[in-house]
Amino acid sequence: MDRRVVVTGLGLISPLGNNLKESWQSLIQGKSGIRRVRSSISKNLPYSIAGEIKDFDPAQFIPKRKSIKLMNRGSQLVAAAANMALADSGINPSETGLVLGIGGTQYAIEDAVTAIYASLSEDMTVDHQRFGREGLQSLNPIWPFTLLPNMALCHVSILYNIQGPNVIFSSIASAGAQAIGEAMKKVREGEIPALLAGGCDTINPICLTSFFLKDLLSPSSDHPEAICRPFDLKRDGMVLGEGAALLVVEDLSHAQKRGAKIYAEITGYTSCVYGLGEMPAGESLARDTNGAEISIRGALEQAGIAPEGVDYINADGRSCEISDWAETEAIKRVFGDYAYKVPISSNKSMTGHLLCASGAVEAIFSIMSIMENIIPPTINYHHPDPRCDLDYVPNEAREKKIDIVLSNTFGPEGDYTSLIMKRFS
Amino acid sequence: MGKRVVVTGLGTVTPLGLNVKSTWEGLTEGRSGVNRITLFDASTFPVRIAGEVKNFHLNGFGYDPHLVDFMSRATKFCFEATRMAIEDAKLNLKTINPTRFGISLGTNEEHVHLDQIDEVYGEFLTYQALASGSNYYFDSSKPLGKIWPIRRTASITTFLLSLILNARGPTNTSVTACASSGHAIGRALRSIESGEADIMIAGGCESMISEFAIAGFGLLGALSKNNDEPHKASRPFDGKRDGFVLGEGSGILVLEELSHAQARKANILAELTGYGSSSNAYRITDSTPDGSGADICMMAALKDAHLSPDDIDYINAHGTSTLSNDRSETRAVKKVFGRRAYEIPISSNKSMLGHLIASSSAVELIISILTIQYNIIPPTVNLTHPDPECDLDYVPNISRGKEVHAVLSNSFAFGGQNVSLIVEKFIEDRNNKKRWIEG
Repeated sequence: MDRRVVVTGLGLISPLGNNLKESWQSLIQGKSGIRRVRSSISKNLPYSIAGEIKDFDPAQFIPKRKSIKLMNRGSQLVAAAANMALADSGINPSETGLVLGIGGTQYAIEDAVTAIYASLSEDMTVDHQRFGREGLQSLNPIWPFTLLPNMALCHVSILYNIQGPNVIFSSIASAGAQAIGEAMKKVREGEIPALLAGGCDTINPICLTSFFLKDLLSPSSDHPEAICRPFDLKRDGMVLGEGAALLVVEDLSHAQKRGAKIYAEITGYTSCVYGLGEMPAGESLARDTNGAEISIRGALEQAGIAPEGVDYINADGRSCEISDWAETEAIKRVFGDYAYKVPISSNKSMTGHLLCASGAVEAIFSIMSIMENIIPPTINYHHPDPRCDLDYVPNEAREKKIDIVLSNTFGPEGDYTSLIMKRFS
Repeated sequence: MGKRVVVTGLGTVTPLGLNVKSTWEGLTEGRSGVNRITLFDASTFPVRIAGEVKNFHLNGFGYDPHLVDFMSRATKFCFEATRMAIEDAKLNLKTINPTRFGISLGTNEEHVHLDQIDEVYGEFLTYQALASGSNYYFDSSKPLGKIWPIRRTASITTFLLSLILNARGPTNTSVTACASSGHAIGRALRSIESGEADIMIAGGCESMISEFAIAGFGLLGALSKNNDEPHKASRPFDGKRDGFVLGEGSGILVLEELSHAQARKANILAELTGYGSSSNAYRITDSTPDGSGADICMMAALKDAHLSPDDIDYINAHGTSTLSNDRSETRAVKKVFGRRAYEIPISSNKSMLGHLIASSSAVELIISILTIQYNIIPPTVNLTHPDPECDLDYVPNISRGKEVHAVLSNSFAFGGQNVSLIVEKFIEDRNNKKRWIEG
């Protein structure tokens, strides 16, 4: 008999609040966390709307000032989420390992701008010899730490003395959910009794500009809180955001032995890749639908439940025209008539797309739905799209007994991940 | 008990050659692949040497030219290594069940070169320039800027490969710097052991020899500045070492479930039996002085393989040629192997290849498998001034013939993420194997 895997600790920091309680309250009240981002990031950028974390004070979680200086914002957020999750679960960190989903360091080119300018020749091309001689001098000696993708693991394992397995998974968007799924597998296979798993992503000038240049973002508006409209007819692109979410994923018998509080059980996980981002619209609809279908079916199968067993779908719903059609269509294919009965909602309507953090953040919100029997709404939903004709829990949260949640996270790269969380009994 | 996992195909692109054979010949002859940097003008940089892949061309698969344009240098290495590994394994892609066929890679983000700056960041830099009140102007009209964010992500190689090979099984990308491909291979091992997949393409690729990486690691003082004698720059365990040398390349293995490999009468090169992972939880830049962290990882791999320290015939060391790593690794080996540490040959391929970062673990595992196949241990070159703190048998300068049944291969990332893998000579009957171990 396989080991059962449960969640015993939650740590979250999101645009909706700097801890789980605040975030959840905003979420069920339908308050958006999307706004104009702080000027230090948005100065002179063509686009400046995102789900930004407000008033984050790393010193609250990280005792040493020197460590804070060496950490980029991503590592600081992971440290904060780890702090909260570990405290919540009461587990001894040295018994655990760390599995993270992180998008990338985004290269922090903004910190190298001075070095680049110092190396320009008359025709505005970068002169290598000048860069070697002069540009290098203006680089901050600790800047190289941003070159390495594993720094969050490094900092957090040092902070809490976590010596177990340490892995990072990467993709554009589904890595957070993937990390939780992979952690579930490691625990189920008996490699380690407990792991801290989840994801993190931050907004930065490069990221905002590049998504804007790719025409993936919803056009700017004077009402930033209203521009992310998943499944609404007038949706016109995603909104980025930042956040970190970590879960303590633990072997049931280990959790019971130490008398831990058990939030929920993770029973299904599928991750697959189906094609690649840059595709004509028609093809990408077919691809997205197929990918989503495979992912949802796989997770249900692994959890050993019929589609009718699912009480609520925490959708990917990223507010892009095609992806929302595709997800709706995939749900109809898998769930048949039941698709019209099962409530579906998108947390992204309020948080924005937290990229690699989104899968983990939404897994935590899904677990909260089970704990509190409340379904958070899809806000900004005013104009029904005839091709998106399911129950998206528009604008108002809803009470319902929830035992099993399906949480979808699909990335623009063509990666699809689904998780199934179940009330523990 | 989980399913058994064997290696049936290998492919590499390294600074010593564009295939497994030439890399192996270079290593056993003790040749160095480190030379002056030619990928960009490094003449004014404090560090001017690296292990570059030379004369590289992408062959096979009949790629769409647009796709080739889209690929980064590291992705191209990976495609080439994968093609070789699939040919080596004599895999017929048409007969494979796509949902039982997966990909697990250890990679890194694409490293932008200075002369690509305006293509990639032109518009962004112009905004920044405006912010600082100057009037720099970059040409950002090139379409590349628009696809770049996706092209640059670490996971792109995995995605492209799954597309080309029609692999629909478990797919993941690990990014733990120097341990990336080790974790990827470990994940692939688990995917097959647990019955999720029959075949996995596992390994990694890296091409980090860029102005920013050389500058960045240089600023940290981690790179060797022995610019005048590039061949002698990487000297793991030697008293005169002054840092590591950056390299590039790719290593890919075809991992297969045993009965699947036997059913198609594949040539079995070795069995992958152990995977261990740990974290130092010590410091960002330094290894632990007493080797703790690394010992947990090696022990975990031994336990996973059901082997005792006495069963290991050769250790393929991480051996980066930094003071901190070499001493820490030596102490960790002593912790795990006790008095036997002095009897087991240990060598570092990085003395000749340089440090291939995300692909190092995969390439070194491939070398470990060849060690089993040919019963030859490649040397640690440039070991001429022994460091009294590093007093084990590092197979100095000349390769050595020895019967090798089981190899432990270490990779320890900058930042403290460790991975150890164990490969063994394939013996069909496990009970027989047990007897041999006990004997």
